[in-house]
Amino acid sequence: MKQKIIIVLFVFIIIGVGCLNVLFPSPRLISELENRTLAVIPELNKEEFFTGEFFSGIESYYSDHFFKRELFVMFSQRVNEFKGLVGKDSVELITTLGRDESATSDESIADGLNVEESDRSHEAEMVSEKGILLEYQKKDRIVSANDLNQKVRNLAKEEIAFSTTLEPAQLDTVDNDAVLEQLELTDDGDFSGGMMNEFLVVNDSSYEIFTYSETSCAFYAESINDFAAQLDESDKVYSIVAPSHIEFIESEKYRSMAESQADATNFINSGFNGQVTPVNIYNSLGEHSDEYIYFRSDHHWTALGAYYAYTAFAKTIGDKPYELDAFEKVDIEGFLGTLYNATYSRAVKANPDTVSVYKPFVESTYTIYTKGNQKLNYDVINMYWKKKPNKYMVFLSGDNPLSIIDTELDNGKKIMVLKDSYGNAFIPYLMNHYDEIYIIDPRHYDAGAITLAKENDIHEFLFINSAIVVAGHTSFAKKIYKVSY
Amino acid sequence: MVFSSLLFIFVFLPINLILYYIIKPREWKNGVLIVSSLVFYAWGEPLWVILLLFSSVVDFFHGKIAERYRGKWQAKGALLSSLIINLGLLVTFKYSGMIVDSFNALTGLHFVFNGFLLPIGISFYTFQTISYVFDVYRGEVKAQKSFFKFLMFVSLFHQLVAGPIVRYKDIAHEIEHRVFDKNTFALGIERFIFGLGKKVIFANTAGEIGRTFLEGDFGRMSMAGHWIGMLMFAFQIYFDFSGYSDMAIGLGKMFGFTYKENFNYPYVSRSATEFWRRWHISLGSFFRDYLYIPLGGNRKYHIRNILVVWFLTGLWHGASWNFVLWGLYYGILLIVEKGLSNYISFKKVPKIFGHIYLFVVTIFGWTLFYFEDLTEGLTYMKGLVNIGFIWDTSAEIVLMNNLFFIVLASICATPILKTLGIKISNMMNGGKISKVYEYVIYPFGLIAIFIGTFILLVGQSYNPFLYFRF
Repeated sequence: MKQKIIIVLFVFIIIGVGCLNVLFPSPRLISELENRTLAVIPELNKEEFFTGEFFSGIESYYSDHFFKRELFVMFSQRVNEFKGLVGKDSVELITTLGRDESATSDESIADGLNVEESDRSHEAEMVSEKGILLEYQKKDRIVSANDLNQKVRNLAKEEIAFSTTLEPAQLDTVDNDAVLEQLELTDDGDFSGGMMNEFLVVNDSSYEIFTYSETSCAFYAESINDFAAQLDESDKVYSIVAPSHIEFIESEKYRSMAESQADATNFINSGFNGQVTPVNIYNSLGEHSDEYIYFRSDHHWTALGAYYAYTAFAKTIGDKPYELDAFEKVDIEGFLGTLYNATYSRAVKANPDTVSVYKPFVESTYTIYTKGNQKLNYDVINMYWKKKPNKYMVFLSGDNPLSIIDTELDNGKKIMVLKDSYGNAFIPYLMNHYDEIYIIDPRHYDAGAITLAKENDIHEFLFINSAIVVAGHTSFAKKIYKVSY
Repeated sequence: MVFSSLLFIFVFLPINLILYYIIKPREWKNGVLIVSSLVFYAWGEPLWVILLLFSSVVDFFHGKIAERYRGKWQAKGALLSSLIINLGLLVTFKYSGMIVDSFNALTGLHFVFNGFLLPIGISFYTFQTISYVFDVYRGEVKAQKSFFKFLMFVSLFHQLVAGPIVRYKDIAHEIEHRVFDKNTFALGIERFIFGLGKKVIFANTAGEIGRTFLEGDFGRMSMAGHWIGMLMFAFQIYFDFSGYSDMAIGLGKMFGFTYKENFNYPYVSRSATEFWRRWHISLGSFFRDYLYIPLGGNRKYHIRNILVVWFLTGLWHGASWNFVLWGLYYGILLIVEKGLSNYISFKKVPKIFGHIYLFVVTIFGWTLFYFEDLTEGLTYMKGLVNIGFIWDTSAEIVLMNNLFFIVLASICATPILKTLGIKISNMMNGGKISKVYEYVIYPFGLIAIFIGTFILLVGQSYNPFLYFRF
């Protein structure tokens, strides 16, 4: 008799849930909970059919649009908390597969630049047929759905880039939400695959565990030397390497789980030739490490942290930094950033970040040249992003190939900043000192930065990047070489 | 397609069951199985389903010849031909890359050959058809007269892609006669649910936990970290593979087939010898019956036979030399244990030592197995004995964060729960509680596990089978 019950229940469930999926499909494009695009129905073409990609695409689609998926995902996250204990510090160690490098789709890492990465034994980078950089665990091991998601994401991006180029670039201001949404979808963040995969959660803060290789550090320094060598001798080149949160974590026990970013930075600085001036922001940050200078749920520093870096930089260039109270402070609450997405920690979620913005008082026009070849005019601090999940994008509206801030200052001082996303919170403070600021993200800029600088009579350069990105991986430095002409 | 996918559980399986049980004529039922099995296989391997069909056709005829000319040279020729063709396929599609690489390494030349992307299940179905021809040749079973029934045997989706290795003679009767029996069907469901649970709850989770150490920077990891990492892999591969076998056996029962057990709680063993009587039993017995014994077994050239069998057992698991070393590692251990048993009575040794011995042996064994790059494997092994750096914060945190999981996984790797279940049933012995247990607690508990498992499945993104590289 119990057999009948088992049979009936089981068969009923598999048929029933199967039917529910057919009757109530949920055709959503994005999962806000997981912060990724959901799989789309794969198109049927010969190559994908015979490699089996078409079929695995269907499976991804089916599971991504499963009945009540969000509910189930939340449930399974809860269940995972029962695996063990968290101790008095509520500490968790989470490892996830690295997200892909924000390479452009026609960029190949085998692009003529060979670097021996002998001290990262587990790295296995491969370039897929579409030239998209993916990270596999081991070269033979099966790809995770994380990679699959990223592939889908890139596909979505390609579609969007394609559609924006269909409408010819309008040189007037384009100022609508649709375009901004596209900016968001094309923002890859700057996780470099491989390094970004261990996360520590202590109480309500999450941290990325930092490791680095001397090879990457040396390579980064070399790429800047190379850039500087092509400039005039009197041109000034500055380098800021920004440490991340874990460098300043209070408990030595947890701090020692990561390698020293101070050491990595020193190693980079020791590799510079005479023309490059390293800026020490470390001490400035360290003095204020008990303030809210880093986000709890995101790998970036806050505008306050960037401010302390700014004061150090201002002193280096011989200017007086403005006091913090010179700026109007605006708070944006409810921010859950990249580290939340990596850890899904409930403790972190319970105490979301506040993005405090110190609004520039200098008037300016800010022009963005997007990946979709559009020219946009926004405010440097763009409050549109206040209502979106990724609130860090209020700073400069994300990572774009080229953007230019033209301030009301008329002192003729121009600077070119080559940066990753850490630069975004920092750059607004430069507006108080410079006439024009040219901002280049080497990962996305497809032309010569030096050519641009010479055309526009720029003689000051700042490289501001996070230690996470440049000390652990050579990819960013390779991008610097890419724009180094 | 894999069993632990939502598409399989909620689309493929229900459609299959419905069609199979609605259609009355037996020939058509077989047809449903054949079609769905080929669809299942082609789903993951749209191109190389051809090889599967080829292997089936070829061995169907080999079987016929072996029977017809039994005792004469043609039969022997058929057997030889079957071996050559099947092993040839296997070598070509699985080992050619390895052969070229090794040749290059030895001679210093640089032939480039990218190898084929391994067709799923080829190590399983080639062995299944080889066993068929062998058994027909030896007269242990009659050759199958219908190609379709033979194709059904080869392609049956339950065991095609990741085992167990099912011999034709074990299900020859059921191929012709299957009867629906609700007991068996319910047992099949139960087995399937347990297998799915093992995979989703234990294997996938262990895989995630292990990643921290298995892919970490070994130079900065403590000895404890190394042990935890490899322990997680030990859990992962056991629950993954045995879970899959459970699902295969369960599915078989749902359709009227009885497959032999493939795992018998291997981690409760107290020697390597015992371990291999409990791990991937269908492979061990295949090599015993079709290789070891024909080679002379323990009568002639004993040591040589053992080494050949273990060399090949290792090689079967992967086209890389670390797997061969892994196989030989166990082969040598077996020889040593056998030798020692002449001098020491193992029964007198306290059980705990046996368990510790096996634990250490297994962890080192899996280290050989896990790292295809031998230098990495060696580095990891050094880490396992690095008494200079025993403990660190990551090991402490991971252990704490996953304490309950580790305890539960350890329990489920032993027959404790099963024994407990039987004891409880016996204790209740027909009273009212017994009825409540039988009609409510057990069935609903089982279904609750199933529901919990598929909900977890929705939340999990990392879900491949490890033994899928065969």
